[in-house]
Amino acid sequence: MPWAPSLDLHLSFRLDGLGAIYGLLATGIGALVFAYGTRYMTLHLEHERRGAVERWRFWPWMLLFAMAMVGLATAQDLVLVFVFFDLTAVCSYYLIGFDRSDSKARTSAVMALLVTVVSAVAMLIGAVLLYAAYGTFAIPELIERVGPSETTTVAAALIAVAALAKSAQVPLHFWLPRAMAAPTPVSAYLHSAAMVAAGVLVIGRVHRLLERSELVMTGLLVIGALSIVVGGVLALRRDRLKQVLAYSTISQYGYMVLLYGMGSSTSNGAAAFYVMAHAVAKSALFMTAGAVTMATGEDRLSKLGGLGRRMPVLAVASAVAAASLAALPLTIGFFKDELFFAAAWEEGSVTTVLAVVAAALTLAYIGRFWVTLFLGAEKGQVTERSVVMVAPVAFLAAVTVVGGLVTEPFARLAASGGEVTAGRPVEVDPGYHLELSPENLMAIAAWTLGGLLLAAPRLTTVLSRTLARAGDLFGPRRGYEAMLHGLDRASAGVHGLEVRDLRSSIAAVLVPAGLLVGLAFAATPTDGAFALGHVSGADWVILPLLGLITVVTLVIARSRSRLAIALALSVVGFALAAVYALIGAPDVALVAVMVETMLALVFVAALARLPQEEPDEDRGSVVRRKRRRRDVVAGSIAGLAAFVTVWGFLSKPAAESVSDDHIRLAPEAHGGDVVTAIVADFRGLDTLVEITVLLVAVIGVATLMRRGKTW
Amino acid sequence: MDLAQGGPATALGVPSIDVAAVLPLLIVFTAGAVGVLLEAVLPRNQRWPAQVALSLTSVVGAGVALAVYVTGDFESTTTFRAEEASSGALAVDTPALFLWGTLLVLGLLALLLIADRSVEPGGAFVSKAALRGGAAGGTDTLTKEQTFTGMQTEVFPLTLFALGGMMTFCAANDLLTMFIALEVLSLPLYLMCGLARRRRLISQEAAVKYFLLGAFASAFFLYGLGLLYGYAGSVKLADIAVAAQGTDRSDTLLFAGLGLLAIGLLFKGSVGPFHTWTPDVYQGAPTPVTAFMAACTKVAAFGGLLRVLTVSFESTSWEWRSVLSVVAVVSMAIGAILGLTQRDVKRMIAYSSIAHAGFLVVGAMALTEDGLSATLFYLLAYGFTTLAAFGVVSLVRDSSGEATDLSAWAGLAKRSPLVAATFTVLLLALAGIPLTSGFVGKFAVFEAALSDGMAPLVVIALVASAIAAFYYLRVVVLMYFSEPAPDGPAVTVPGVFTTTAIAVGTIATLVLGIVPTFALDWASAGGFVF
Repeated sequence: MPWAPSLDLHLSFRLDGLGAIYGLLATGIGALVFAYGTRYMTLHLEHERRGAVERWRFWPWMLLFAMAMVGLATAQDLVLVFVFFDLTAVCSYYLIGFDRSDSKARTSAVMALLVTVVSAVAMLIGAVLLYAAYGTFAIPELIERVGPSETTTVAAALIAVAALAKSAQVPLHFWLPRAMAAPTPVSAYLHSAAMVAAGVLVIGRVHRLLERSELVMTGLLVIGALSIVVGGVLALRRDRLKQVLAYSTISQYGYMVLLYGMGSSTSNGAAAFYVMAHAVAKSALFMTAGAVTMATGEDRLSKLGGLGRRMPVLAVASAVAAASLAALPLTIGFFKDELFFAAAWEEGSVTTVLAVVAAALTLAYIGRFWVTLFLGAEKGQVTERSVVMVAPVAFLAAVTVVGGLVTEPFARLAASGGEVTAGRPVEVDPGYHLELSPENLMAIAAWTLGGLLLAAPRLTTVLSRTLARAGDLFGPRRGYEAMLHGLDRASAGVHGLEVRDLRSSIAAVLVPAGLLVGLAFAATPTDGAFALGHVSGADWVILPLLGLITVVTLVIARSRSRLAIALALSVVGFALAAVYALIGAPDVALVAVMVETMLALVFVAALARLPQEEPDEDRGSVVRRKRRRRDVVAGSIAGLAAFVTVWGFLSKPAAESVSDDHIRLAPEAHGGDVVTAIVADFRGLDTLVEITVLLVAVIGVATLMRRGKTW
Repeated sequence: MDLAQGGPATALGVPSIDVAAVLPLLIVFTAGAVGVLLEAVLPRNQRWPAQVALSLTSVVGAGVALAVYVTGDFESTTTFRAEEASSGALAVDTPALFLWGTLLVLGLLALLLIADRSVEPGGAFVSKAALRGGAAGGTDTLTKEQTFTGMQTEVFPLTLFALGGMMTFCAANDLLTMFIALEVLSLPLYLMCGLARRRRLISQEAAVKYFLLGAFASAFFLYGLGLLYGYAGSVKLADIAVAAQGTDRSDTLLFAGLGLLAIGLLFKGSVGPFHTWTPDVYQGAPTPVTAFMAACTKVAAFGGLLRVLTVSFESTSWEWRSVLSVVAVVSMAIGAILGLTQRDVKRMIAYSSIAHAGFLVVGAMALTEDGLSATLFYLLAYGFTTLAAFGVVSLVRDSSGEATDLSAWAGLAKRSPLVAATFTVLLLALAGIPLTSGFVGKFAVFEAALSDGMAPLVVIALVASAIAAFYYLRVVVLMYFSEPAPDGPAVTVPGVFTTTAIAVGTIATLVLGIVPTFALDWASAGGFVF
C-alpha cells in the first residue's frame, strides 16, 4: 500500500510467521496485562494519592504501545520499522515516567528514551546507507539484492546496534533495570512482548541481511554471551523483586541474540520458540511481583517471605512460570532450553559450555526468587487480595503447562517464524526423549550446577557483588553519565562562544564572505583575467578626482568627529558624481548629485538630534587599541579584495549596451531627446510605477509630519 | 520597479504583461498602498478594523486569484502552462505558483497572529516605534504610552509590502528584480522588529542589528550582481546560465559573483555562518512578527536560492557544491549544538530554524526534480509548524509579558494540557518524528540528496537532527514531568484569530505528516522555466 508514493515510501505490511509470533504476543499478553492493569492502576493511583482521572494518562499510551508493536511485527520496510521503533520508544517514555512526582522515574524515562532513540538513529543511518547502495528500503527486496560488502557490514552493524540497545544487551543494558520505575503492567508488557522484544524482532526481521556480514554475526554471538552472563550473575543477588526480573530479562534476551548470532536453521527456529516461551513466563512473573507488592506494600525480597500459605494460588501459578523460565520438564520452558542446547551443541564446545552455565544461572536466580518469596518464615502483611490480579497469572501458568504437554501449535508457529529469519525451511520438533542425547545431558548438568549455586548463597553473593561493583566503577552507565555531564559542560562552553555583540556579528558575516570570494579566486585560473589599460584624454582629470576620494576616505577612517565623517562622505559622493560626468554618464551624475545633497542634509539633521557626547567609555584603552588594529587589518583585506575584483571586472570587454538602440529609436518615439524618449516611452511603465511609489512615500511622510511627533 | 526591462533591445514595443498570472502580486501590493492611505485618512479608532479587513481580504483575494489561475490552466491544458509574465522580469512557473500559495497561506496565518488583540490587550505592537523602553531592558514596567491600548496599525501595510516583496522575490527572473524585491521585503521587516510593546530595548536592538547586518547582506548581493553582470553582460538568470556554459573565459568573476550573491540569499534564509542576526532578532521582535519572519522569509529566501541555483548555475554545480556542502554542515552544526544551550524558547526556535536551514540547503543543492519538490514541501511544512509554535509561545505569559524563559514552562501540561499537547506535536514535528510533517519533509529532502550522490552529507544531517531532537524533547520533558513553579506564567485564553492560526498550523502539521501525497504532488508538478 503506498503511503507517499512520490517519496518511494510504502506502507508494506505482511503477516508472515515472524509477524504472527510477535503480533500474537503483543495482543495476547497485551489483553492479559490490560485486564491485570485495570485493578492494578486503581490501587496504584490510590496509593499515590492521585485522582482516578490520571488513568487517562496511562491507557491511551498503553494502547498505542500495543498498536505500535503490532505494526512493527508486520512492517516490511526499513523506514516503517524505524517509525514504529521510535513510536514504541516514545510510548515507553511516557509510561515509564508515569509517576511524574518521582524524580527517579523521570530520569529513568529519559534514560530509556535517550539510549533507545539515539541508537535508533543508527538504524536510520544504516537504512540510508543501504538505500544509497541498493535503491530500496523494502526489506524483502534488500534481502535479494544485498551482497557482502563493506557498506553491508557497516549498515548491518548500525542496524544491529539499534536493535541491541532496544533489547537491553550489554553494554547498553543499563536503562532496563532503571525502567522498573514504571507501573508493573508496563514492566510486564515491556519485558515480555513489547519494547525489549522489539529489538530481537528487528534482528530477526533483518537477520538475512546481517548474515551477509561475518563480523556482525560474530558480534551478535559475543554480545549475546556477555549479556547472558552479566544479566544472570547480577540477577543472583538483587533485592528488589522487579530488579531480579529485569536482569533476568537482559540475560534471557541474550539467549536469543546468541541464537541469532549462530545463524543455523536450528538456532533460528529455537530463537522464535524462545521468544514465546520467555514472554509467557516473564509476564506471569512480573504480574506476580506486582500482585505481591500490591498485597503487602513491600517490594524487597529481604522483607518478604512465606507468602505461599497466604496466597496459595499465586504461589502455584508463579511456581509454574518460574519452572518454565528455569526449563524444568512439563513446562513449555523445557523445550526452549532443549532447542537452545541443540543449537549450542551444533555450534561447538564453547557455546555448549556457555549454554550450560547460562541455564544454571537462570535456575539459580529464579529459584532464589520464588523460594524466598513463597517459602520460609512469614514476613510482610497481606492486606489486599484481588482476583483480577491473580487470574492472569494463573491463566499464563495454565498455558505454560499445556505448552509443556502439547507442543505442536507452538512448534509450528516457531517453525514458520524461523523460516522467515533463516530464509529456508526450518524444523522445530521439540519433544521428550528419554535417552542420553547431548541435550538431555546438558540439561541435567545445568540443573545440577544451578542447584549447587542455589545452595551456596555465599558464593553467589560474592560473585554478584563483585560484578555489580565492577559495573558501578567501570560500567557503561558511568560512561552514559559522564557523557551527559560532558555534554552539559560542552554546552556551557559553547554558550560562551555564542555571538551576541554587533561587531562580532558583522565579522561573522564578513569573514565567511571573504573566504568565499577568496576561494573563487583560488579555484579559478587568473591568466589573462587582469589587463592593464592606458591613461589618455579625460582620464587625466579623473585621476586627481580618484586621488581626492582616496585621501578623503583615509580622513573618514581616522576622524573622530561625526560631522566631519558625514561631510567627508558627501565629498566622496560628489567626487564620484564628477567621475560619472566625465566618463560620459551625465544622467547618472545628476542623480548622484541629487542623492548626495539629500543624504548630506539628512545626515546633518540626524546628527543635530543625537546627544553630543560620544558613547565610548573606553577611549584609549587597550581593548580599543586592539580593536582599532583589527579594524585596520580587516579593512585592508576587504579593500584589497574589492580592488582585485573590480580590476578583474574592468579587464573584461564591455558588454554591449542598449544606448545605441535607444538613440536610433528616439526619433520614432517622437521625443525631442533620448532621455525624454526613455522616460516617457521606452521605460514609460517604470516612470508610472516610480511616480506611484513616490506618491505613496509622500503620503507616508505627510502622515508623519501631520502628527508632528517624529521630529 | 523594473517591469519593462529585458527582452532583446531591438524589440522596444509594448511590454506584454499576463495580468491573470501576476494578479495575486498586484492585489497584495495595491492593498499595501491602500493601507498606507487608510492610515493617513482614517481616524485612529477606525484604523484597526479597516486595516485588518483590508489585509485579510486582500491576502484571501490574492489566494483566490492564484487558485483560479492555476485551476484554469489545469482544465485547459492539463499541465501547467509555464509562462513568463511581465516581459521576463517575473517567471510565473510551477514552483513560483507553489511558493506563492505557500506564502499567501502562511502570510494569512501570520496576519491573524499580528491582528490579535486578545492576548496582549491592544495587540503586541507599540503605538510609536521611537518609544524608549523602561529601565533595565524594559522588561517590567510599561510607560503610559505603552499601556495605551491603541495598536500600531502601520504594521498591516508593512506586512503586506513585505509579503508582496517575498512573492516577487520567488518569481524574479533577473537579478535586478530580485534585488529590488529583496529590499521591498527587508525594509518593512526591519521596522516591524522594533515595534514590540513589551521589552522595548531588546526589540529596538533587534531592529538595529537586523538592519545593519541586513544592509551588509544586501550590499553583498548587489556586489555579486555587479560581478555577474560583468561576467555575463546581463542580469537575466537565463543569460548568466548561457554565459557560464562557455568555457573560454576566466570564471573568477562568475564564482566571486555567485559567492557574494549566495551570501545575500543565505543571510535572509538564516543559514549558518550568516545566521548571527537570527537569535537576537527572533528573540527581540514581537512574537507575531517573529512568526511571520520565521515562516515566510525562509520560504522567500529559499525560493530565490532554488531559482538562482537551478536556473543560472546548474552547469557549474560541480564547482560550488562542495562549498555549499560546507555551509550546510556548518549551519546544521551551529543550529543543533548552540540550540542545546538555550534557555529562551524563542532563541531555541531560532537555532532550530538555523538547523532547518541547513537541511533545506541540502535539498536545494540536489538540482533534481525530486530535490526541488522536496525542498518546496519542506518549506511548506516547516512554515506551518514554526508559525503555530510561535503562536503558542505568545500565549504563555506572566505579569511582564511573554514568559519565554524555559524554566517558566515547567509543568505547563498540568496547567494547560491542550496548549502543552499542541506544543508537543509542533516540537515533535520540528524534531522530525514520524507521523508529523517534519518527518516527511526531512525524508523527502534526504532522499533527494541521496539519489543525487550526497550520502555523507545526509549522514551528517541525520546526526545533526538527532542532536537537535534532544532539545525539543527537553522542552516536552519540562512541560510534562516537572512541577510547575508557584508563581509561574498563566496561559492566556486566545481569541479567535490566534486560535485559528495555531489550529490551522497544527492540523496542517499533522495532515502533511499522515497524508503528505497531495502536497508532494503539487510540489512536484513542474520545474523552473526561464
